[in-house]
Formats: sequence, structure tokens, C-alpha cells
Amino acid sequence: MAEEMLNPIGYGGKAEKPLAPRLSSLRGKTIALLDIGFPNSNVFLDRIETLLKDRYGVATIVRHAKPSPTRMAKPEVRQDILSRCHGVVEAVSS
Amino acid sequence: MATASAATQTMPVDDPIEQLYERGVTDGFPVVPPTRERVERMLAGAPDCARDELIGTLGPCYGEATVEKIAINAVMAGCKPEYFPVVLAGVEALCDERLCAHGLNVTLFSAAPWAIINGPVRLQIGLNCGHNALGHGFRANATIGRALRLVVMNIGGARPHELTKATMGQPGQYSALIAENEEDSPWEPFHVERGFREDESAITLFAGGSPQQISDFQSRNAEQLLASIGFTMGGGLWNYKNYPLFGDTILVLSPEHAHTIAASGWSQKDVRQFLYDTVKKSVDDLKPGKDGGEGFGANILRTFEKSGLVVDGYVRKFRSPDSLLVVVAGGTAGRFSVAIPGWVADDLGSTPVTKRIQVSY
Repeated sequence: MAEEMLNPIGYGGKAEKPLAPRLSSLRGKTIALLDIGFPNSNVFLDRIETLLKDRYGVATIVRHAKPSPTRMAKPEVRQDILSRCHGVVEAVSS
Repeated sequence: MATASAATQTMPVDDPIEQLYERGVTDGFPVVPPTRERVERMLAGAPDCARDELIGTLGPCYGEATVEKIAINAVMAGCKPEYFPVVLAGVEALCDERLCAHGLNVTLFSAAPWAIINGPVRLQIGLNCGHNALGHGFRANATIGRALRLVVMNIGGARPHELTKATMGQPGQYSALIAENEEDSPWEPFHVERGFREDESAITLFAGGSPQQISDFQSRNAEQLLASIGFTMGGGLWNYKNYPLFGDTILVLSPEHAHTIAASGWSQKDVRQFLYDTVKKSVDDLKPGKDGGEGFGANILRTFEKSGLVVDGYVRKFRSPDSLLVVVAGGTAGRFSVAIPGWVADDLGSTPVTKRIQVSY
């Protein structure tokens, strides 16, 4: 006989979320680069910016940064990326 | 030849322990089934709290830590109802923004929310502060820390192979708890240093890594002993090139070591100041080189100089005397202490958080 047990889970739904739809092309798009704050991430992202523009025809790069690797991006940063960017590269280095 | 009985060949489909495993709500060990009766008994351990009271929300999934949800997880961890006020205060600390539980629960650093418990509650609920203080064998120590882990998993939504990305993990992730041995300490209790009265009980959460045991059998005064402990901490915490540490550090002194230091007339404050002043490395020794690729390049060392971290060509291991948390625990025989390195601190990460434990017995 199964006992009635109370649910220990306190958050809604599963932690895993599906990936957003992929872009078919980067040409002419606006892409955000989110620097999460590890050492040399600016060096790494500078190179990514060049590659995205020169090799893939990205029209505009929007640069943002998290306050530190351990803290979430501020709401206004997330909102800016959502409102005017087609995609985002959240990147590290070391 | 003996054969397995029929009873051992079948798995009961309604075994609650197996069902809880199937639902993925355990830490890997079996949990106590949270029946309504058991949860009600747990709630009675904190009679002044309403079951739907929201203690806080907990990242990374920002689940709501209500008193009842916490009680369910405390039952599963094996807590007695009289431990529940300690668990509630611990969850209050977990949900405090300064601890940065969101980052702590998902970082590559193998962190645990180390709990330091002080005050009369330790003896009232049977927390072990003496021999094997950081180890196994005592229900209160094992289950209070475990309850915090289950809350992190089941309310915070942090599970390994999902959002928890710790590279190595560590045994303290099952339960990480230090009850201070106030009775065998030569100094005032840790929570008194943090502004509480001695007759109050408090829990401090610290975002920490794995404990490192440090032995010293020969030193006979404060300066000798702390030079030895400091040299070991200087090399062993994070990496021997990590000067300064960008986190805080717990130093758990055994009673024998604490009394050796106190016999020289030194307080905990003197311990912190001595380690801050003496554990340092020359700038040249911090550069990557023949002793390994880790270290700081010239550009980083220049930022150290600009921010005043380089003094007379040396960089200190600890950011400030206050980045060291000195606690006394363990048995009265044995010249062993323990250092626990912290995750990154302050605006970069986590600040230790202390909460009062509301004991009503």
C-alpha cells in the first residue's frame, strides 16, 4: 500500500528548457556579445566580433557585460538583447 | 546450494523510497518518505512559523522556499523536529542575496554552503562539536546540512548534470556543517564576533570548497604555529600562485592549536592579522614560469599595483584580515586544524551570511 507523500519540489516545471529556434543565416543580423567577465574575455570577444562581421556578414554587434561571472546579467541588459538582437553569444575566456 | 528467496527477487512497486529515487528528489542516498504525518511533526518544531510563510526564493530556478516545502525536505533529510528552527534559519541565509546562491549552485568551483552553528542550540539538539566534528556519526550534524542540500536541489532546482556544473564536486555537498566547540575554545564564540549575544543561537553560511587538514605537532607558541599554518594555507588554497585569493577562507582551529595560540596572549583578531601580514609572495614568483603555467601576466600584475595590492614587491595571500573566519572545533586531543577555501567573494560572488536561529524550547 503506497503512502501519501508530499511534494518536495518548490519550483515550477523542469529545469531544462528547449533551445530557441536557430537562425538560418547571420547575414544582416544584429548579434549581442555578452561578456561574462572571465579574464581575457574582451580579447576573445573582439576576435569573435571581427569574425562575425567579416566572415558571416553580421550587420551590427551589440556589446554587453555581466557584473561578474557569478552574477546574472542585469534586467535592462537582458531586455535590450531581447528587444533588438536576433541572437546572442554568451562567452567566456581565461 | 542456497538460492535467493522469492522476497528478494521482486521489487515492491509501491516502495516509497524507490519512488522518491525515481522522481529524482534525493541526493543519492535514500531519503525518509515525507508523509503528511511526518511533515506535520516537523512543522511543530517551529510552532511560531505559518506553513505558508515564504522564507525566500532560491536560485537558479527561484523556487519558493515556504516553511512547508522546507519541512518536507527536512523530513526527507532525516531531521528531528527540534532541528527545524536551525534548518529554517539556514534556508533564510541561503535565500539572502549576499550569499549569491544562484552562482554558488551552478559554478564550476565545487562549492558547498558550509554552515557554522553557534550558541545554546548546539547542545540542545545534540550537535557534535568535539572529536570528528566535521565528520560522520551524528544525526544533527549529518541531517541539517543534508536538509540544506535537498532544499538547494528541490526548491532551488540545482541538480548535477542539469544546472549544477561543478567540475569535481566534493563530499561536503552531501552535508557541510561545523558546530563550534565553544566549551573548549579559549575565545569568545564566532557568532559573538559577528554581533550576536552568547546566549543567542546563530547559523552562518559560507560558500566554501573542500576542507584541507593541516597538522603541526612541534610549534609551541602562536607565532611558530601560525607561521606553519599560514605557509601551508599559502600554498594549498586554490593554487600556490593564487595571491591574493579573491574569496574568504575559514580556518577551523582544533582546541589544542587554539590554546597554544591563546597561551601567547593572542586573540582571533591577532590570528587574522598575523596571517594577513605574513602570508605573501614576491611579484616575481607570481609570474607564470618554470614552476608552472599558472600565475599572473604583466598586465594583471600592473592592475594589482594600481589597486594597492603590491606592497614592497609582495602580494598578500588574503585580501584583508576580515577575509579570514576563525572558528574552533574538533576534539581536545590532536594538533590538526582545517582550512576551507571560499568561492569568490563580495561583488564577484558571495559574502558569508549569519542568521539568528529562533529557538522556542
